[in-house]
Amino acid sequence: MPSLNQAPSFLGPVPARRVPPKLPRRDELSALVQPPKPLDLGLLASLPSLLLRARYLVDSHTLGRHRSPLRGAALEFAEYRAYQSGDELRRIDWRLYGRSDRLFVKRYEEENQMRVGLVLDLSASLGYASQPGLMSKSDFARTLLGAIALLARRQHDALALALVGDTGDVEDYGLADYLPPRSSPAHHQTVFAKLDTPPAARTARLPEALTRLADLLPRGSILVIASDFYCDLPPLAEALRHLRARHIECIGLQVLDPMELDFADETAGLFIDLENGNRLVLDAPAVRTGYLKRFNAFRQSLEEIFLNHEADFILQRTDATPLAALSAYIAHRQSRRA
Amino acid sequence: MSFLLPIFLAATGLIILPIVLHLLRRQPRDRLPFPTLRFLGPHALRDTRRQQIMRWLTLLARCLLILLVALAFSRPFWPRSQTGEGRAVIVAVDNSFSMQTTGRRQAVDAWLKQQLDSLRPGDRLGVLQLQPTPVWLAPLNDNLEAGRTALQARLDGYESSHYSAGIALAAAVLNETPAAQRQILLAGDEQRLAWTDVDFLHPLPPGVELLTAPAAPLPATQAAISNFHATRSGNGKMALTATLRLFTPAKLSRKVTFYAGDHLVGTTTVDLVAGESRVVQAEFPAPANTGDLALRATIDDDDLPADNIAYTLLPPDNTRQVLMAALDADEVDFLAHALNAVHGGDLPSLSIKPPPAMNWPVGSVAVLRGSTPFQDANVAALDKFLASGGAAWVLCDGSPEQIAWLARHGVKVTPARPTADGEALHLRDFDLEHPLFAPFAGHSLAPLLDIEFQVGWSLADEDAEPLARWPDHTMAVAEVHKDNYRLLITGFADRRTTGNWPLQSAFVPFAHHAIVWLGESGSTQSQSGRVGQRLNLPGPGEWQSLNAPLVTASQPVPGSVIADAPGIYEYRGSGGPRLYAINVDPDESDLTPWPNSTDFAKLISTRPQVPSDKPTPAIAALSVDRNTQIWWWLLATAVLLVGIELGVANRTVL
Repeated sequence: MPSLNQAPSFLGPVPARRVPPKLPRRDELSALVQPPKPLDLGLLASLPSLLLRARYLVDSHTLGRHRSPLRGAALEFAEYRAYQSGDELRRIDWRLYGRSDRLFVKRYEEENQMRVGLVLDLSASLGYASQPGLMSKSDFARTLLGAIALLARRQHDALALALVGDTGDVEDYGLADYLPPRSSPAHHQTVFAKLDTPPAARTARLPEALTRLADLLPRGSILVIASDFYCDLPPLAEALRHLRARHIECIGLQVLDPMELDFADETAGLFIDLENGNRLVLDAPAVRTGYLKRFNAFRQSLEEIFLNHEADFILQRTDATPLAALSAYIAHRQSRRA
Repeated sequence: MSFLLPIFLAATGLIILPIVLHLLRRQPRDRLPFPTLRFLGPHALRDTRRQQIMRWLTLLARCLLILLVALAFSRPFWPRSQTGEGRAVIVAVDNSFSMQTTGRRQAVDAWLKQQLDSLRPGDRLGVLQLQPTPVWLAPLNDNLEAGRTALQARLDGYESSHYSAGIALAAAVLNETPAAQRQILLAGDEQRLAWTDVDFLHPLPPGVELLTAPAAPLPATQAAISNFHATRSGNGKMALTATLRLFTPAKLSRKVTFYAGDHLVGTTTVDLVAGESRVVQAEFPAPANTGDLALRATIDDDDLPADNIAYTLLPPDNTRQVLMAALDADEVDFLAHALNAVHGGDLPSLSIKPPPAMNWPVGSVAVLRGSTPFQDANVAALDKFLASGGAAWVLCDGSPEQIAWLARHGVKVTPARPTADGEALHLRDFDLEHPLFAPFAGHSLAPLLDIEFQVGWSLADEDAEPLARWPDHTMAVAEVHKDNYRLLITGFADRRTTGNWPLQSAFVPFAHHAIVWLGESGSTQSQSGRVGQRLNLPGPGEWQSLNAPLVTASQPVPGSVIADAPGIYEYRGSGGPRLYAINVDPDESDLTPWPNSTDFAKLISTRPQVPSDKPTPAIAALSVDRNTQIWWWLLATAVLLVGIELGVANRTVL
């Protein structure tokens, strides 16, 4: 006798749960994803609200495609399951009951909805913008996360938000705010509101917060981390290892200003560290070579850490379109679903 | 450091350009917020400091470049350094004959040896002879042996002491000599005469020391012949006059011995009193000679033998040759009559001849009146006659040629101003000490005072010695002694039309005595001189000593000579051989020391030694500049700096 949990044989075999394929690497993802449409960064930066910027970003990404890659998947039928006490009666397939005289409930892909966690670094270093026309790193990161949140809403994904900033409270594990994953529209509105007006923090304990998120987020979640990752790398590696152990797929979006990447300033003056307030009288041209050498070494180490933990790492300049990051996210989501 | 072309130093002002550029491009103090300084930190600080250093180096290189180029074009050179190592010693040798005083030379030599023994290799030594003018016996250099040899080889001198010029020269040389210790060793005595011209109010340059030899003891006996003179008497004898002076306290009796050549003429004895002069007059038969007779007088030896002998010359005979042109036939030549009127007795006779066309006899006396002697045809012969030691009497009559000739010889002649009441001019203010008025001084001046002149000429010459004056106090009679000749100028003529002088009783004795006096001064007196004084000769010729303590071999001389020892010397040149009598300076015989020896310390400067900032003469500076050629090194350094500047500037972004 088949158990109640077992589908009747006339309904055909219940499809076995497929093992998710190995996560493609970044270069492979790039081949899968269509090149994004050109995006007007000036217009993006001039949009007044985060929601508009996110929508403009998403629309720019999906403009001209015949079918949205994010639609319908979650409403598809998945399998039958024997009725169990406590199941909602509206989920019983009465037609099947009429044919088989047994109670079954339908299971849809909706139950396999993705849980997407957004992590925003609130540290003061993200408030930097080297040029007046550029968005600050924080604005850029929020816009990017807002676009991902918009995609998630359209996909009916459960969305979690973690604002990482040092509030001075040791018990908060570096989380200035945390919204657990939910998919309700109200929750999405809350997420947007939090992203739109995040609290200010001087520093961020990102590795500690990620470690904590590994415990808070459900297994199999996708975690998008928008930060500059100016933190100690060994704890970060440990946090990524922890996330990986929880099967939480990470996408690291390192948001950097062109000045940080090129250090192409010809001026000299009093450099002030936005996080700790340290000051140095420096001559930018004189220190450029040494800076770039050390900075690139840091970035390479950071990228290696992400890749070693099967996490994706995307460098996002604030003077470049973020469509690649969105594409990477979509590719990750599709691969996760598959 | 001095500069040959200091105008180029103004270009150093261009140094402001790189400084302004540096200040304009200096590191801004803008506040630049940045996400993190973790990639900057100490490394960036080090890089920034290095950049700042490079920028300062660039500024320094540019400034130095401008400075060096400006300095190079200004042609710098180092004046001779004021400091150095070792000792520089100049021995100033007093070669006056007072150093021949018993024991002085030995004492000075012992003191010098003590001073010079401490010289070490690398020190410098020079030997400077002080008189008559400073002369280097051994120039200042590091050849110590040469200096010591020069000191040992020096001979006793017969000069008179004058330290001023020698000390000044030695001090100047030492002032320009780099040495840690610079000394003048004065190898002399503290004789008063030597220090009279030293200015104690102006000390030596800072750092130059003056060390004097220990004070010499005073001599026990010291007497000197201060003057010796010989004249011919009319009776075939010669009158010898010697003046002696005793410088030591005790009375002394001295025997005076006279020689004619090597032949003893006679002796006489004189008692001397300290501080007083005694004149010894003796008359001896005059030998018959056709030329000058060399005579010498000696006294007994004492502590200073150099001044115990004196030389003089006796004219060949008693006849004075007068060169005087005759007046026109219709004029009465009162002067010729007066000069021919004297014959016999003690008075020398005069021989009047017209002057030859050329080569007037040197021993004669020229009487110059009217305009004829001063005309162009005769002036050359007249000037040559005077240049060779001749003597002349100029009687002014106002002729233009005469006035012009006198003006060329520095005598200005103007008409004498008549008296207010219109009376005739009279002579006054006679110099009765002068030999010219000797015939009147012992009798009466009335014959001179009675002379009346309707026309007279005033004489003006700073070097002339007034013998009589006009009522307006201008010179009426003057003696002019210049170079080698002697002039007697009377501001009146010998014409009856200009006054009653030819008719007065004073006319004959005045005219005769003027000729005799000029004749003596024009012959023997012009052939005498002092040691160390320049003696004018008739022209180039040969010069040798005949009777002198220092033998001088025959040597060619130009138109003058400086004798370095007393004695009888012979000159052979134009006009035939002539004898010259040279004596020592009688002032040197006084060995009285400088009254206050502490004055010598006033010459040592108390100011600290500082590098001299006196401007160097341009030619000397050019020489030094060529020797040092600092500018070349400056330019080479500037080129090097250009390379450094380019290298450094390329490493600096700003």
